[in-house]
Amino acid sequence: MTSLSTILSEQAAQITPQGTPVLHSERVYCVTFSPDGRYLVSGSVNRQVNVWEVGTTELSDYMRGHTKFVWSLAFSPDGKTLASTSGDGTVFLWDIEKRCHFRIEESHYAIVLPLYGVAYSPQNDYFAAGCADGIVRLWSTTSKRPPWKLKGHKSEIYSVAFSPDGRFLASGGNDSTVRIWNVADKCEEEVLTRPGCRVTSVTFSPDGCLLAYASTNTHIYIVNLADGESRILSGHQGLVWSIAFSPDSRLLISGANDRSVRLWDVESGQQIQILEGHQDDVNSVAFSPDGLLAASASDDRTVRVWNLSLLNERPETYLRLVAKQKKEAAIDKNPDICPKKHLDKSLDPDHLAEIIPLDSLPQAVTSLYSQLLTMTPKLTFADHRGSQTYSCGGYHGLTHKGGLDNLALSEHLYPEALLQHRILNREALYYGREGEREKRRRVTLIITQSGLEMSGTTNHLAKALTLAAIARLGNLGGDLRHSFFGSSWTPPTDPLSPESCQKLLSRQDNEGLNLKQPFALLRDQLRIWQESYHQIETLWIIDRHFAADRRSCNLKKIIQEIHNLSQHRAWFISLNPNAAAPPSAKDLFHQHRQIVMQNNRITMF
Amino acid sequence: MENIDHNLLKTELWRRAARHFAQADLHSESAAAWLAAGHNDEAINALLKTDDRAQTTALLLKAGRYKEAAEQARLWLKEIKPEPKRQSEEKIRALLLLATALHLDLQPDQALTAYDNAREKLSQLSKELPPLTNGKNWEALAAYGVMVKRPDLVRLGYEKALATYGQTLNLQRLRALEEYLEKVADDFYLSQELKERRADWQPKSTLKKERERLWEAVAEFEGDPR
Repeated sequence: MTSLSTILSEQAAQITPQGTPVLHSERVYCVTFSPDGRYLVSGSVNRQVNVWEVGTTELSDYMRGHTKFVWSLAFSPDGKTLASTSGDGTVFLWDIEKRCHFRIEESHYAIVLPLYGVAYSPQNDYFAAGCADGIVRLWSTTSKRPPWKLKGHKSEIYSVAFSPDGRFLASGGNDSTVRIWNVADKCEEEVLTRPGCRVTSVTFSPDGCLLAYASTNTHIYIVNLADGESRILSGHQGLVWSIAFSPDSRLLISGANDRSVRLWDVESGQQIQILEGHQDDVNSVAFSPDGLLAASASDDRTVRVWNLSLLNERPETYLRLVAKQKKEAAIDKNPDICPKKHLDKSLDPDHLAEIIPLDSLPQAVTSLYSQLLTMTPKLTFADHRGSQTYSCGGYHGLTHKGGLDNLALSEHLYPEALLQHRILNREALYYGREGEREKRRRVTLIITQSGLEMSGTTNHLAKALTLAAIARLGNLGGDLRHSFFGSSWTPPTDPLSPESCQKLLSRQDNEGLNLKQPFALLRDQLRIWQESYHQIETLWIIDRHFAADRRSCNLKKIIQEIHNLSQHRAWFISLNPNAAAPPSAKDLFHQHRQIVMQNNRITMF
Repeated sequence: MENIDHNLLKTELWRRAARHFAQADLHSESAAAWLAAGHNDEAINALLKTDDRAQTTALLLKAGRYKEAAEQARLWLKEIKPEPKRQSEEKIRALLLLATALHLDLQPDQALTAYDNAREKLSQLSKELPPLTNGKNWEALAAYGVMVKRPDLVRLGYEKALATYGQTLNLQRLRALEEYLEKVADDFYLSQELKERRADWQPKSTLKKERERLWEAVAEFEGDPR
């Protein structure tokens, strides 16, 4: 029988980073989600409050005003106002929609006293901040009277938090105490002391039953507010900087200077997962309001977002999902159990999305990519016992004859009308071959042009085309490799991994096209492959003017050699629908298609 | 007075000025006045009497007189004096103009030879020349790309020019960026990227700059507990 905590651990083991880390110019000290889950806000040493739309890695906006590092952020319950505290001793209230501040409060009059933790009361009537002079300052949101000063701490206060009912305020700091204040009476209610344990972060659970605080002695303490009993969560190898409860109070997330983010099961006190990836201290952690995402900010200048959606599945739903996955895996291992199913398992957009986190791609590439997938025929390969089968989204009747090895790329070269007919009719044509199984002796190399000539749309289109080609050719039984051809030639890599695809998409070549050296390197690679593969195919994704120049190099000989070594075809990119491929390009690639983009619409002919 | 057509008057004044300049043998000025009056052919005739080959060739190209443009570019190439700096700078532009003229005059092989020579020189000299000269040369390549309808060269030329000008020659960079934007207006994604770059490169107001400088000065992170 699987225990609940085992299931939770299993679920946690499948937590994945959501998109690529969001890179900042400086160390990031704090991060939080807006109550509507729309924004992710971070504060950094660069004195800015950065606003990101959740799900993107593009900076939506930033707000400037602080003159020193931004330490802490808190949203008002209605999500309209954001409070930020800074080393410059100010707390700024920002209108999040207008992206401007409308109120500034200071901790000092003569000397600068940095302000650290900030919190908004759930009723939206107060906001509080902990100060370096050991005084908690409590401001009213409705009047501009001077702040109430809650005195008791002997040293800096790093964190403050309101209880969910708004009656209490907790503060923790350098004097190894957590103090609980009565908000209505503005007086101290209780002191929790733990000598030698400087408090860095303090928080109430959303259900109001627990108070948790993190400390410099690597432990996290959870206090049951009903009976005062406390538990210790141990596991971090360094000072814990930040903790946060999940919205359902079931989980606790923590970030520490051991560079790890850890997830804890609150009920059992067990650590359920270590989320690794940060390269430096983790300064701040936060849950999204729906609990499906978590964010962590670090000294490595990134904010990482973690997808916790699987953790939120109910245990029985999760077990059903696992059973389904196991069944599919068994079919994959032995296709004869369900050959048809296996044949259908080509790299569809859905399948590719498993390989590449599509939501992290530049928007331009994603929109072009989805257009392209509908235009390129779907090809499938199945390796059955004693036979091999290829299938193409196709038309009635066998009109294409020839070696199977030659089939894959040829399918991409059919006239537009024929392709449209096939796509419209959603017809499939299966090419079968009985007899001895052929070994994986074919390699397809996709070569994408890079360089300054490929700026803007041409660049996006080339990358989207590359992805589409990977999706369509990645499951055809042979090996698939990818290279860039620009100022230099990049050695072939296996593109069917998230890292490769991310690398592919982020590549930027800051020089112009260089024909001579890359051609020679490519020829040498093909020569090496000739020894281990009996069939080499190259698919070039290039600007239609590729090789229009004959500058300073005697290319003819090398090109002839490449012709002899491989079957190569090209997809020419053009932004002009009336322009034909230049003769130089036609000479180089006898088999080619033009991919034209105009007014955001792609056509292939 | 209200019925006077000011444009007509201005054109007539430019014409008169052009004739006066010509009488005084000030042919460059005369050409400029003819151009301002919108008379390209007269401007070319005036320029042919000067040694301003660059502008003459450019105007001839604009007027569609490709053979004469090629002739002028060849003359220009011959006349370039063997001074190391000016020679290379002028030679690249002269070669590119010659390549344009020959390409448009449907002599592709000769055009390609001239173009190849220019590209060879461009890549040879790009590290030796000062940024301003270097940037202008790359812009000349972009202009060639516009004339012969090679968008890849337009992008390459302007991108290299922008990188060459860099932050030190920001005004040149912004000017080149505006021209680049104009030339690639049909390319939606590139235009967007260029507009973003323009926003980053626009000089900030003096007050804002001063405030930034003060921020830099005071930000010493004294209270930073880390």
